[in-house]
Amino acid sequence: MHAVGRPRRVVVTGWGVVSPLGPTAQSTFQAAAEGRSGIRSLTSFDPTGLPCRIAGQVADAGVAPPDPSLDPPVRLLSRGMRFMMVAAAEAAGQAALSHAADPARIATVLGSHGENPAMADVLRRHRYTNGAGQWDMAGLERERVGDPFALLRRKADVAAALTAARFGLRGPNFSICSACAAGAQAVGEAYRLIREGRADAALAGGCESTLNFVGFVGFQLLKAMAEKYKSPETASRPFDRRRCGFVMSEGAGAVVLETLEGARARGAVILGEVLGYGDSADAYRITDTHPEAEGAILAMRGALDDAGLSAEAVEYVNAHGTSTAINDVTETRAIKAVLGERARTVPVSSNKSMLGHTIGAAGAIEAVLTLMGMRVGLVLPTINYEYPDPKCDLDYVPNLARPLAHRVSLSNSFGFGGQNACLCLGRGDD
Amino acid sequence: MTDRAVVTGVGVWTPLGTDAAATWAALTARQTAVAPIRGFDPGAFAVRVAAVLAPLDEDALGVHPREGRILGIPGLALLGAAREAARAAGLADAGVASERLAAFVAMGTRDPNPDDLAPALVRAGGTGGPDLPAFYGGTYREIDPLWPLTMLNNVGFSLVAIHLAAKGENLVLAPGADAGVAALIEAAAAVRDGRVAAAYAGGASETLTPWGLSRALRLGLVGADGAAPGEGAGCLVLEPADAVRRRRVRPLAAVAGWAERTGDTEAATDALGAALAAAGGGPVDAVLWNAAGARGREAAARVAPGAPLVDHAPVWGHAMAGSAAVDAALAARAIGNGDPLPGGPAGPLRRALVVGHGAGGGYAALVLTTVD
Repeated sequence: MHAVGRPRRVVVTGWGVVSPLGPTAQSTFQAAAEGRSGIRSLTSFDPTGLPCRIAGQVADAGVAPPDPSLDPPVRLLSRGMRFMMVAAAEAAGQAALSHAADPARIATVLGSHGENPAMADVLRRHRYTNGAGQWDMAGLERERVGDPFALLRRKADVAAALTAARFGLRGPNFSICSACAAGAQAVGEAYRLIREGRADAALAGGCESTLNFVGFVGFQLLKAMAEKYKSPETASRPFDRRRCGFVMSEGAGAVVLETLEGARARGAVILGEVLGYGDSADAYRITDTHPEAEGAILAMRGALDDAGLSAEAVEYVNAHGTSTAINDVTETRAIKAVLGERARTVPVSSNKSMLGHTIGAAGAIEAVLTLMGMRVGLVLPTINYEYPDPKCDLDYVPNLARPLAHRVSLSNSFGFGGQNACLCLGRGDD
Repeated sequence: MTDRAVVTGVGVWTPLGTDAAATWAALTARQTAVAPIRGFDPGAFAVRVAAVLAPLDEDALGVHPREGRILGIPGLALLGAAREAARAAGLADAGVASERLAAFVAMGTRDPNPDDLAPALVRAGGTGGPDLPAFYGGTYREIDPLWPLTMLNNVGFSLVAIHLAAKGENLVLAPGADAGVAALIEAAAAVRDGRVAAAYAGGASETLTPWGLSRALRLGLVGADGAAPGEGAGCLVLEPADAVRRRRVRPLAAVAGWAERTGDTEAATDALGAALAAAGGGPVDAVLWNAAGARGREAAARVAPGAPLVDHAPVWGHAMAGSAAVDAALAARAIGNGDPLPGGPAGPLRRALVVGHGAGGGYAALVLTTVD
């Protein structure tokens, strides 16, 4: 239980991504390096008439259907969980996870929110309500329609439980529900478990698929999604003056983390390192970001403090960069507050310009892309950057990827409601 | 920096009472909160009784009705429990900066209420299904824009953080009893390692709905061994032992060890054994494990032979993450006051093992002990 001596270094030995840009980490990174957009007209349901009708959908062809012979049963897997299984398999395979540690010492930490009910289920349930909170359950049960597994897929911990079962991981098992910060928090919490000696390895990440009627209408009501755009591909435009909201997307990201010592001992390829993690709560207003970015600053400084690094060490910031009017301004303020005078010279970019916002998966996917960029010496671009916003006045790596050898990066994730997470990531080659 | 985490305050909000003392008294008097379900017709279910919370007074909690709707009843109960814990700990006088005040919480599943969304769909008209263009063109705007927030666990948590001014580290886990114990463990680790100056740690159940009951029955979380569904929340304040000594507050209990595992009965046994080992070994006076079931009893008997297993599910139901937090709060209270635990062994409780398990096979165990 107790941390003894010097904290253990935690390295990355596997990664996996399923995204609108590709079904693997490499295909996603390659497409992002080329500045391609994964945003298209929404086809997962008919959104005709909605102000926002675009999204970043994962191509079905890129995600293999679950093998019915495998545990867990296919009917338990939501679309988001299927993404998680694929991303986790990529990461676990690359890392040879089964050789990383005793299964009882391998944790599973995932950001996940469970599946939204289908519109048909909502209507079916409504037929048996009296509008005053009373339900005719006997009538509903008699009807014997609908998918009983939908109730199970709604549970946020199903993804972590089934992923652990699929890969035989018997250590701590967390399901983190912090919205847009969940994927980053999952990686950060897994890092802490290993650093503190509570686990020797971890499969961490996040998954999300809310491109369905209930999820989409919900976010539409919150007025946070892009509604004015010339084309799907140009709708997500973080830090650009004409940005008007985020574009909903889906996907999954996964990493395998383990101790540096363990990875070296078994000859695993070290892909990167988690140097530090900071998290905070705005505790300000439920629908507004703190105007002075207090929570974001706290998380970023916390990650640097945890890493034992000063702001001088930061060479790249993978921004949360949602393309909403408020986030991009307050995040710019936070970066300036943390990096000081250097803020204008440190490249900052948003993967969401190409991927859209994968909510609970975003922090994990962006951590993977940040690590991959460090490994090959490339900073991914912010595409659709055409009209500078005087309130967003940093180097956002506009439109084209930039070759840059860099060793230390920050990756920001800020959750709706006010939860903030920042990962300090390193190249892991020293 | 490492320092032992101690419990300086607890808060409890259950169907037996809206604070720790009332719940304690009801348990001591062997009262039960389990009663026939009245919120909906449970006739189709194998379990037709539950322990549900009475409607909460939002005004008394200083919560706007709109916030109350987002929080839901268990979220409000969590806020009430957290405030009680803060008062008991004297947190307001501790001089803890908001940025160093953390919150680690497990929240139950939030199921969308069909009445929030479906009426607008129905009003849009259509035959053989809703007229979606009409819905998107107009009636969807009739839906309460806060409706999406009621589906998100973290938004309820964030409201609690706002009311508590907790700006430091935070974590929302979901939704089982294992997550309730895991939230306490994460808080204890953060306090021990000096990452935070104080932490709220707790758990809240989900609201009893037909959907939640159906799910809990299918997963075997309720129904077996007479466990009825329950609602409720518990919260503890954890602080570093040294800081507590400096401000001359008497802590209730210390967090001595913990462990988490995933899997079957062997994993349960591993988790309990590893938690005890981390606490230095030795016996415990009681194992608190809500809705432990046969697997739980077997694991507890293996690891802590002779220690009675205290399971409050028969009297206030299984409130999942809320149960685990309440168990920990009651154990800390008993240890701190040198009292016997209601439903537990006759003598004063000095050392207890608090356990939670989830439907996904997660087991989390925590040892609470007296403070020297």
